[in-house]
Amino acid sequence: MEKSIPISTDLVHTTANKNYAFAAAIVSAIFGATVFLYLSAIYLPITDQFIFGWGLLIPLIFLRQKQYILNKVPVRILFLLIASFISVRYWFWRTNSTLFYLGLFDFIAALILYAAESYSLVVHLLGIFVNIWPLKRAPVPIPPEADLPTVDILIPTYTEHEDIVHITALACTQIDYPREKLNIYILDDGSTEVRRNDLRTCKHARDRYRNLTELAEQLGVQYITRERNEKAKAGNINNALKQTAGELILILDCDHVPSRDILKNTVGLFLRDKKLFLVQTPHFFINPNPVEKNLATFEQAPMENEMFFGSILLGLDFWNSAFFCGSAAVLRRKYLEEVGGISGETITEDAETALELHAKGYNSAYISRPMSCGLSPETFNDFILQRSRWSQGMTQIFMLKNPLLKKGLSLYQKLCYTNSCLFWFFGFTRIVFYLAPMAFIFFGLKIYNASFEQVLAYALPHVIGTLMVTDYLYGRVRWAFFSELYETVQSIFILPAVVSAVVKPKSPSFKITPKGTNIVSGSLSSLAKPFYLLFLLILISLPIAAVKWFSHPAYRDVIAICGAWSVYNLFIVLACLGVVWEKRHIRKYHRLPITMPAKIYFPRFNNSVDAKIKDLSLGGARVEFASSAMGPSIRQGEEALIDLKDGYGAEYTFRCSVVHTSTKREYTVAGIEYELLEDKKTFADLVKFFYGDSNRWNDLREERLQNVGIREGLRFFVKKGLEGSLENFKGLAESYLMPEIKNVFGIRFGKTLQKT
Amino acid sequence: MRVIKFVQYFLFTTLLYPVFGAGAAAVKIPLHEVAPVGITNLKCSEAEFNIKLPIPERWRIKSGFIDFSYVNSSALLPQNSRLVLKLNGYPLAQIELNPLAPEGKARVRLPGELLDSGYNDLTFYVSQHYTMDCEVPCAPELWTTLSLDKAFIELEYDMKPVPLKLSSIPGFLFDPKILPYGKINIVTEDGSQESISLASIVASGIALRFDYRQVDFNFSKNIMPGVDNIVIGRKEFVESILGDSDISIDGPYLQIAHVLASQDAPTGRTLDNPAPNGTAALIIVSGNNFEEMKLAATSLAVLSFPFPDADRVDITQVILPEVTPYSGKSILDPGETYAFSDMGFSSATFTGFTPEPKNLPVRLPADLLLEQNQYADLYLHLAYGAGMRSDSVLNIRLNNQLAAAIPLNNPNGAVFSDYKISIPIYLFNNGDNAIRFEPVLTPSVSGRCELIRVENLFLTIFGDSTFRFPSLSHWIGLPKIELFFQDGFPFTRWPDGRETALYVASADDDTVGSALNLIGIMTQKIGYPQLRLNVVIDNPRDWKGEIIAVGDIGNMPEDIKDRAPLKYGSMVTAPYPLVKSMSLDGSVPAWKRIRNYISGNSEQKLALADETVYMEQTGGLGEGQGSVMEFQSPYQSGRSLLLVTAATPNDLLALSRALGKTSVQGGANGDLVLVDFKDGEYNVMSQTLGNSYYAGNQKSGDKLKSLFNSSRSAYFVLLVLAFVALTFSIYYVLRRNRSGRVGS
Repeated sequence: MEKSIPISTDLVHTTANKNYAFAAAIVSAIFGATVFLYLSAIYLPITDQFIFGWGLLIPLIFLRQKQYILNKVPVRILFLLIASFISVRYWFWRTNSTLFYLGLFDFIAALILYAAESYSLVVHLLGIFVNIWPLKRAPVPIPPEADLPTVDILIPTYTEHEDIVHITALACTQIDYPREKLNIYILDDGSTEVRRNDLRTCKHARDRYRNLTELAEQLGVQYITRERNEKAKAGNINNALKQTAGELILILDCDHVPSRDILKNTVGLFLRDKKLFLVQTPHFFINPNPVEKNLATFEQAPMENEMFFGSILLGLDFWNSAFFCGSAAVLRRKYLEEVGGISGETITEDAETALELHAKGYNSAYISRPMSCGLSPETFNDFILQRSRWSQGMTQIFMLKNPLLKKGLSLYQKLCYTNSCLFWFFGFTRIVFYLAPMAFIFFGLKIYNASFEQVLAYALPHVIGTLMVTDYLYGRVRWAFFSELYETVQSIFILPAVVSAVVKPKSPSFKITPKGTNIVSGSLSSLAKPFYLLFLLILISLPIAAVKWFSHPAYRDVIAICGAWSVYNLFIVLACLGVVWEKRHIRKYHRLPITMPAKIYFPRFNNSVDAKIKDLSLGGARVEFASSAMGPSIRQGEEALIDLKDGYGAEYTFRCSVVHTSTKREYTVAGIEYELLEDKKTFADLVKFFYGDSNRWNDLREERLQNVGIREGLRFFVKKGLEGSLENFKGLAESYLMPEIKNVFGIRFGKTLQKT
Repeated sequence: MRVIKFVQYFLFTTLLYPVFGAGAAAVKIPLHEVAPVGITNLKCSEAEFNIKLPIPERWRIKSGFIDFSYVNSSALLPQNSRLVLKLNGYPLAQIELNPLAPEGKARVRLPGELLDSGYNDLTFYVSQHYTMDCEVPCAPELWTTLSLDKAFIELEYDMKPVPLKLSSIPGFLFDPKILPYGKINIVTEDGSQESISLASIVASGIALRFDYRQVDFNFSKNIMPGVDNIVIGRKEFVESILGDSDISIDGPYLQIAHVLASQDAPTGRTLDNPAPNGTAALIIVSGNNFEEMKLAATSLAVLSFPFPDADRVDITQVILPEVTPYSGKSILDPGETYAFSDMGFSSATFTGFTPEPKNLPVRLPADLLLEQNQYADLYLHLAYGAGMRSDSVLNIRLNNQLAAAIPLNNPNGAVFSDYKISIPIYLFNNGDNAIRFEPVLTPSVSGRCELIRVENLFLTIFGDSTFRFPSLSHWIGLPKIELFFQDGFPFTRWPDGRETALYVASADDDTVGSALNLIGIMTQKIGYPQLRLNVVIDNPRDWKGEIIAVGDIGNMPEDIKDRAPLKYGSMVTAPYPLVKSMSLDGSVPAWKRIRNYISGNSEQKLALADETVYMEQTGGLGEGQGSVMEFQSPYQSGRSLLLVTAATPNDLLALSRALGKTSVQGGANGDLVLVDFKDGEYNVMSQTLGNSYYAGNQKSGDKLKSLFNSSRSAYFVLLVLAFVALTFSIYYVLRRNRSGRVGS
């Protein structure tokens, strides 16, 4: 017997409407893309190009002024489309109208520059694609009745100081999660059997083994080591995976101290999405990296890694392409085991693992709230070491597991991973962009065959459009021109590393980034020489360009372009010189510029004063209070008790002593040091107070994330660059030149005296 | 009609008599119509200026005169200063340069026995001094100026009989040395499309033989006595014209005969026992059908070599070479490297203080997109003498702008091989250009009262020097009538005219004659016979290529007139340039201002702006006036239509002849040219009124490209549509993706 099945007409209509909308979207996409490309490529008379090139900048400028309009997604898309059109038109013009043979060397140089520009444009457009609509997630709360999964916290460590491991492991024990569902493991690769039995490392390894096992026992956590150091960090984690069973795995580098809410804010996502394999959180650093430290930008401008964690990862998450960044991430064991644990074919095992899991159709998510606090490399050399590893690793992925060819990835994911890999080829473009103008000025190579009018009509709108897009997409997380600086300081060293990874993709090996290095006095980085050479070359090139301006009037167009280009390069290189002058840095605990209320009780006066914390570290704080309250009578060594409160409302009282004071008319500033740090309870409380509150990291981060605009960014950049380079020259003079002069003149003077 | 015929007959018998009349004839013509001359300065103590005086082969010169005026420096010593006129190296006259009477006129006899057929060297040589001792050879006082632009040549000559051999066609009959211009009467059976097509091929071929010399065509059903006639038609028509019923025409056929003096012009009938004359030729182009006649006409058009040595010939086949676009006379193929000698510049040695500069002609395709970022390269092979001062230089000018200079600063002399000079291509013009080599050679000795040797002052540029123009795309903003007068562009993009239709609005003799004159101009400009030009007499609305429309206003279709920049009708909207203002407003693009600022070129900061008044009025072209207009074809975008029109066919014919004049061509530009040719004076006014459009080498996609280049608003609208479409589709995709992501 047949039964008629009732079908809701609303449902039919809705489905039909969706189909129509989909069809309309496809048709308009085909039409729009075809016309977009055609109109980009078509020749226009120079007057028309000038009108359209600059005319299209007008809506961009207008929209940039009207942020409330630009916040609407369709308008944002339109903004990016217009800017892309200007750039793509520029590229078609470069391709069709500027590449011609004028001699072997000219042609080769022109092609290299063209390739560099093309690469930059591809990365720029991929960046637009990735960041077209970033997904900012709120943490998903865990339902009260939920059956919580068991979690293993893995803390891989190699040669880092035990104190660093201590703080991280201690903070893990304070994580807000049922203790019976939580297992914490110190994965010690610094005390493997091989290292303990190797004559070169045995002493250190055995001491380390003893200390860390004791620490584990004391904190009630597990300690795992293995026979030999195979496959570096990936091998270490995989070794632990065999010996553990938690459903979820929180991986923390040993210098990444977690806040208490890290699991509360991440596990909910796993409960909601059964196909989720990863929840990544930002890497928040307590200390400046060498660029930030040496140019003194740390406290004013966004941190360097905010470009990635504050923007790009949000975009990647939108396209389900947020990848594992090695630490501060929770993974689902079940899926991780499906791909054989952490991948180890490349030295960026984290991204590689995520690639494999995305290819299997699993999901990832990113929560842009810092819930761990780590350490940046302290020296320029360490910084370069770290970046070389990343660049080599991503190049390995590109060469060995090319995302574009990887089966299982969606087109979007392929583009996102390709963008992440291609980015690391920036060393090539940076070096080309530095050498190109000099190739013309020194050798007369015709690298850029364009007239002044064409530059005005095509190139300048493209440059301005690109700057505006970059400022719009990333201005909040990376101020203008700092990307150029970061890429420049890395490029000279990264390019050979990338090239070697391209030539021999299997050869790079994992090198751990040293953390917590101290610098006793200001000194020149051993990697500084190329920047001095570049600086000298640009300096020499400018007067030559000036001479050519008069001697070669027919080439004034190109001379003007190359001269302006070299001046721009000069400012970047000056900032680089500031970077390579390493500032003195000795500090056990890093201070953070935080403002929060406190109360200080001075037993000698039996008096409590309201104070303001101005900066804070694990070992102490700088406090400020009204002079009228106590000020002048406070002395060095004064004992006190300080009452503090964290973001969750928990109250702490720490015994401390005043190490220095300075009194102004209205307020007194005192530096205090906590006492009884060796006391386990006190230290645990300090760790809990200092690291346990993710609100503090979040507030601090949000404070710095602000877009100051291109003009202010340029002013800030030039100021910091000039200050940094002046410090470099001053440091050089004081450290190398003056002693030498004194030495030379001193000897002569002495001899003269003797003779006399 | 009888009146018109009479006027025609009168004109041909009176005006042409000096050229082709029987017996002795005389002609007086301005020197500038004979050779490229103008006001000429002869500087330094010794200088000369040379012109080539053409004498056609069919003339036997009895005598001649040259009239010219001059002004010499009033600082000269009369006893030592002489102006000498030489003919083929032989001094004809010596004129004392008197400082007390510095302005002079001269009439010098040119002996007939010294004037040979071909090009004769007529040299103005000056030897002038201002002091008897210790003279500075190039002192500023040493100058004499010849006013050759106002000079005249008079020649008295006899006509030679035409040899009855077809081999006489290229050199003897159709000779560029004929002065002041050639005249041809083309006779056909009727004014059908076929007949006009054949006439166009013949006219094109004849014009090509005349090379640069203007040739006026007349189209008629009758033979004209006293001029060369071409009779085109089937056997019966030829027989009726010649009055000979025994001509053997079995296929494509060419024959040469004499036009007889007693031939009755109005009827075309030959009288009994006509007296032989033999100074004008009658060429018969015939066949049994159109194809055969076309083959015969083509044969006549390509006869460029004195062969065959017979009075008639039967033709069975003509094999034409493959033709490519932009392959007209001397047009360079961009991207290729040419030796100077292939470009008409054989090795040249410059000697003395003020050697005469020499030009390297550079003829580019008319529609090259001369982009601003490319360079043309000269690779010079040159040598210069020893003992010159180090400030000697070779200046190189392009179209009268100084483009480069080579220092000749080695006192021991030097030889350069592949000396590279790069010239920005935006300094070149579409079409004809001239690179001018101007050496400045200075002796090493310049002290007072020292012996100065000038024999060692020499510079040789070798003919194997090379020139390379970069490969560029073909794309140009039109209309530009000036390009038509440079190389027939865009109607000769294919040099054989295959993409062009010649629309003859009415088939009367004058209109067809006008069309033939235009074909002649086009042919001479491109240097290739218009063998595949499509002649149509019906409205060419189905034609998708370029169109040349020739006809009087009354016979011109409305859809053509409607598109013209100047619309002729009962009411005419006429443009009147009001003022040419010096403008500093926004008419100068910003980048040009910046560029000028950088280059320090303050002259370009000023821009001229035409203020034009448009007046709607009655009336239009009158007698003795004609107009030429170029605009986008109403039948195909990106294609051009050249409208040549006048009030009456008679005026149209006069207009077409006026267009053959160099002075008229030189003044034609923009999209509207008005020519006033009353009283034998030519007055040319050019304007640009209509919309511009773009054209390239007509590849696929050029139509759209042309549309967007011609209309910014079309480009803008489509761009906005693309943005909207893409925004919608991207937003749709993003929303779908986001709901999936957030949901997950």
